Amino acid sequence: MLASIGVFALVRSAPGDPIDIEFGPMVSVSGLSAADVAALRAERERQLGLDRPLAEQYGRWLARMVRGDLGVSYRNRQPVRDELVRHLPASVALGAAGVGVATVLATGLAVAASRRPGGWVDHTVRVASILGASVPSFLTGLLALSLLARSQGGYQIAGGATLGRLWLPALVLGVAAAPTPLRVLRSSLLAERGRLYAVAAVARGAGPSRLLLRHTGRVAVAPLLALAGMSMAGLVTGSIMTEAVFSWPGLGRLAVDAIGAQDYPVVQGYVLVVVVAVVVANALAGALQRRLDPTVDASALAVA
Amino acid sequence: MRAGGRRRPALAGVGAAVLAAVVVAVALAPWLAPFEPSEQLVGPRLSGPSAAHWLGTDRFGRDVASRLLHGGRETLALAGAVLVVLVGGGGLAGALVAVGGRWVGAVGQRLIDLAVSVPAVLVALAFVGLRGPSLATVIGGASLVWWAPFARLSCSVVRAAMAQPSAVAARGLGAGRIELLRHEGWPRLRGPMLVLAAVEAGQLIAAIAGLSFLGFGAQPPSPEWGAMLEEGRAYLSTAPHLVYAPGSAVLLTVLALTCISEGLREGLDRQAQVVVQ
Repeated sequence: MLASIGVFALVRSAPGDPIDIEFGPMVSVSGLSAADVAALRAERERQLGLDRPLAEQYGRWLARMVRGDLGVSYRNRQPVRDELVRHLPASVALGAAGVGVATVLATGLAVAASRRPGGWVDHTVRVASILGASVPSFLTGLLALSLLARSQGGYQIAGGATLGRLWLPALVLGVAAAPTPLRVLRSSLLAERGRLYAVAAVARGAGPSRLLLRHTGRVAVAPLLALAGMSMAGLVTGSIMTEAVFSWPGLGRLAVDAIGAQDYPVVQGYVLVVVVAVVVANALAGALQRRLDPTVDASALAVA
Repeated sequence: MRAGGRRRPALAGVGAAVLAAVVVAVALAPWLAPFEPSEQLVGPRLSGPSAAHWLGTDRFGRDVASRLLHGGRETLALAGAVLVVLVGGGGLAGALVAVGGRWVGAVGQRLIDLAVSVPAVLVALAFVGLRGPSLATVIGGASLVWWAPFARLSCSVVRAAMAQPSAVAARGLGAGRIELLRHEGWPRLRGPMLVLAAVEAGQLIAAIAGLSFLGFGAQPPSPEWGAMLEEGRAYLSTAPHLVYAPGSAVLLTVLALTCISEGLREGLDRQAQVVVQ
């Protein structure tokens, strides 16, 4: 709700109102008098409903958005919705692959590191996670490209959204997303292992893998859910950058191109879709987490 | 943990030393840089590192080392200034939400949750879409939501602090809200805030470089690190030093900040343990 007002305010504050943009080229070629133009303007303003009070405009705008009518792209006169839908699969594929890489990396390394806290594996993983969290994904991407550019028969920089091209941006996205869940999982695995129920399980003869799979692992996963909702924001940022570096034809690329071309409707549609996705992801993760563990306090994760 | 505990302060120290070196080098750029950053020299273009040009030259024959030194100035100064505002404003807002009444608390918490969940880079992009690309636009857009992590931290820490027996006692003795914040909230908030500020500073610098790299922040003649990366990108296979040099600069700065935050966090954790003991 608040978010939608925010987006609306952003849209309305765009420089040069839509009528200027629409009429600009026409006035200069048609040789109409100033009075004619003013009359035409007023007419068009009525048509677009721009003469109504702001609250009413907001209501109409919201109704249009909810119906999925996001306007028409300035660049190619295509409905914005179609443009977004066309670029969505590539982004979803990249995002899913990235999350997959991050999940595998985070669980594998967290389990390995928590085996012997303070051991060399733990230290190496720690250094790697600091590195992974620090290096911005566009740098990792550029670095990977420059390394591959030297090897023969390397990576195709230009091209469509093909499986052969997916692995590298997915890897870059995954490496950037992995460190935070990795640390949370490692420390919660360690914390759970010290709890009475885990000690009791060991006393009953549970080996390390049984302990992990049947006992500590299950509990330690819960805090990750809240994190998953929050990391949606990081994923969006990461995908904007990686898509730009690898010219991956997803939503991020579409938005970046649209901004370059001052295609406001497309930018607005993109922002709206992403904000909705982020808010929904957060709400879902929160609800799921409360379901799993009613005592959980999401603010405790703020410092993590 | 014990074995690692010893070395942590060193981590923060190394980070601080590297960061200080970067800041000093960048601040003294006009005196340190061997050439003017935009001077198009007669000589080899796109040449790799040499004795005359430590980090080589770019496509216009400009000295990469000089550009690098100058390029960090704007970014670091801006990031530093913005960070101070965000930490101060966000921290204060969060603290007020924590000690405010029921309405302030509820509405404030909602606002913070919303702003935390919206990616700052997205808001920056939306702003660029409306106002055209510039460093100021990008930073202005990002700050619109970037105060939220600080507000959230301060809100939860201050809220916890107010539940402490000492705070309850102080309130019982008639301490006002301001007094409570100053004596009960602030001492507990200081440390975690610094840790968060160091992390976010790194992220802020990375975001500025990233958005400039996309072409939305600092514009090409500027030697801003992200803009340099953008320019060097076309020569990735022929003259990779054009990417490596600014890339390492960004990396080094962000890494230093992460190390500082990491070290500080360890220090805080140990302090907390001592208090418990």
